[in-house]
Amino acid sequence: MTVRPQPEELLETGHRVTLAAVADVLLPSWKGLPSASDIELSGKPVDRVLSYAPELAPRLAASLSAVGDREIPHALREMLENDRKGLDLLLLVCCAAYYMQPSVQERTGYRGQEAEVIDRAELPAYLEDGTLERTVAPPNVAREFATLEEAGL
Amino acid sequence: MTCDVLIVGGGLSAGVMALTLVEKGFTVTCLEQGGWTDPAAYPGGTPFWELARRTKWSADPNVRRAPSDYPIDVSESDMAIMLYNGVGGSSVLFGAQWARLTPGDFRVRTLDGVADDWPISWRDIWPFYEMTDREFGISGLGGDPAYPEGEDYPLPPLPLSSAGTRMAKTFDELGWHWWPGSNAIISRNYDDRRPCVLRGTCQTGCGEGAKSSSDQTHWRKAVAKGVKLITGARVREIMVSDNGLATGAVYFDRDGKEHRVDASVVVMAAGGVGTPRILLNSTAKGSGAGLANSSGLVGKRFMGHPYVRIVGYFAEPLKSWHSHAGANITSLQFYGTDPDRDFVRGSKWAVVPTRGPLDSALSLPDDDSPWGENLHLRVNRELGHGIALDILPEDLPEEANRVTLCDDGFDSDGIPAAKVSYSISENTSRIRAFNVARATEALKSAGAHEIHVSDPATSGMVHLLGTARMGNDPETSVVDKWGRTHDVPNLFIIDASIFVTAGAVNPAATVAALAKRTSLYLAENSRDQVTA
Repeated sequence: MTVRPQPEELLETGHRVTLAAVADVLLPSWKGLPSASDIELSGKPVDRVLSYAPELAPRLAASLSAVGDREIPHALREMLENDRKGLDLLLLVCCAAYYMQPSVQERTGYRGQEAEVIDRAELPAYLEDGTLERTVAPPNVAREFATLEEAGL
Repeated sequence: MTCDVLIVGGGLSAGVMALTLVEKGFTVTCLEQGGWTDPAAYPGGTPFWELARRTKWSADPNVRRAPSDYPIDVSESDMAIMLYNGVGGSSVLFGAQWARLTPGDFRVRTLDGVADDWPISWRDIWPFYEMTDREFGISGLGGDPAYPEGEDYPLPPLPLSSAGTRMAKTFDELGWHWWPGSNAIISRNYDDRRPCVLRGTCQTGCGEGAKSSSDQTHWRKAVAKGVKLITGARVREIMVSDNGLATGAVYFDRDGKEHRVDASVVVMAAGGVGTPRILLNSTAKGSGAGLANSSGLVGKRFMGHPYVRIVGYFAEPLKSWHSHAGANITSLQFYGTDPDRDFVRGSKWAVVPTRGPLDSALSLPDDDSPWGENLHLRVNRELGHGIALDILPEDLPEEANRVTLCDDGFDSDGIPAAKVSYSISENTSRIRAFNVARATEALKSAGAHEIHVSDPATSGMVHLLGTARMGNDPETSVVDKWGRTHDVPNLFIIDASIFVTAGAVNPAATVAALAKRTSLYLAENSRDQVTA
């Protein structure tokens, strides 16, 4: 039997320290939005992402190892030039964790994809204001159709 | 195990055929390498949706890497390949735009001197479009002047989003063609299904069951009526008798155990990559080049719709992530050939929703540091402020674009992986460039202050067409006008492999109509059908 690791086991402590530093450069506080460290992104938020997509964990660990203890902005710029996949993975994990946080969603106004019941009684405006009546056959389609009709094809 | 008809693949076309034939009294077995997908498992209503689209619910099997997926070598392709393996096939993840080819699409050679004419005309297929519109529960508005007159759709169109309304007004002001989108998404209760709730997550499966993927529309009924659908069944090859007739298929179950199904008629419905893969891995006596391949065209002439997404950003909030993910409105203004341009054929436009913050955060511009404050600025500027136009260019068939068997890659059952070799042609590039320029004009006219065009390399090829083309001449085509292979008279193909040209519309409606047409032909001519 395969034992599924607990969320906190998906990333080792050293990598979490690096992740916290990287995430604060990627996602600083800005105009009322919290920084990554404000929401403790390298803790439960990132565990949430890795629990959903555990296949990302080894690649995340590799990207964080590549950053190592270098100056973060310099390491990220180097990844932008030479290891785009590694950078994309860091951004994916950090941004997914960040934008799923309620405190962030409160500020962005995006709370996920919400359902809405279709109003069956509402008549589309285009049927009332005449815009649809003005639309005519597209020129090339009409010409081709006329050509084929004339040729009996 | 023996049956009248064995269908290989359990997607959209297979569902249409299975239900049609079982209702006509045939015994039908279907082999599908994937399984049923529980709508409750779809991620659309969860906080994980944006992450899911990039991981386990990606449309790219090389990203998704599910047990039902087979690897596809795209090292020589300009674009990744998008498909889904499971009951319902790629309709489980499609955006559900449901558009017909135009009459001119069936006569490209006659009109423009390029590619080939289909062996059927628009008049041959129109009744089957109308039949399958009813089966799938299409929402739309009749009377589009881009098409010949015909029946109205069974359901009224879905409501326009704010983006759709604004672009309809803009197209109207420009004097361009536009029409409310027709979609395989129900706008009212239909066939024991509930209507769309405009969540906009159609492309990771519809948890409401409002999207008309064929697992919902056909497969449940087909199984209830007696079709034997074997899931987790990965077909290795089609079996052939000494006299060159198909006798059935060999498949592996999920434990890797080999099985065989015998059938009077075999029908390929594994898609534009899967069907040539299996045919090329099958052997006819006296031929080393795969089954039904005396023309040498199995796998060749691979086409798709290498689409471009162009997004205009507006100052005011549009909440533009909120809408169904089908076509809000479409425009065929630049469809077909304009003799005054430096390319042939054209494109279809559709207004579609934008997505959530992750899309903006990860759409890295050419910037020294696309993170930090720049990232926040980007998300703030884009999220909910965009109007997206998806532009589908018509790709012409070229033999160099093809599906072959991979020399050094295999799936988990040891079957050679598929390899796709595909280059975007000069003509397609010119179509894209022209349409991006027109779309930029339209979006600016609508008030956009900034335009973003997707990098072609990041778009996936979502429609897989043409790899076993239809035609009258066995030397230049794989199947006849009924989908019967020229070489093997009891072997048919009903998926998008048989397209002669691609048109510039989403192919699902045409796939369904062709499958219906072949199914009824098979049923009506079964007494004359040659079998092994």
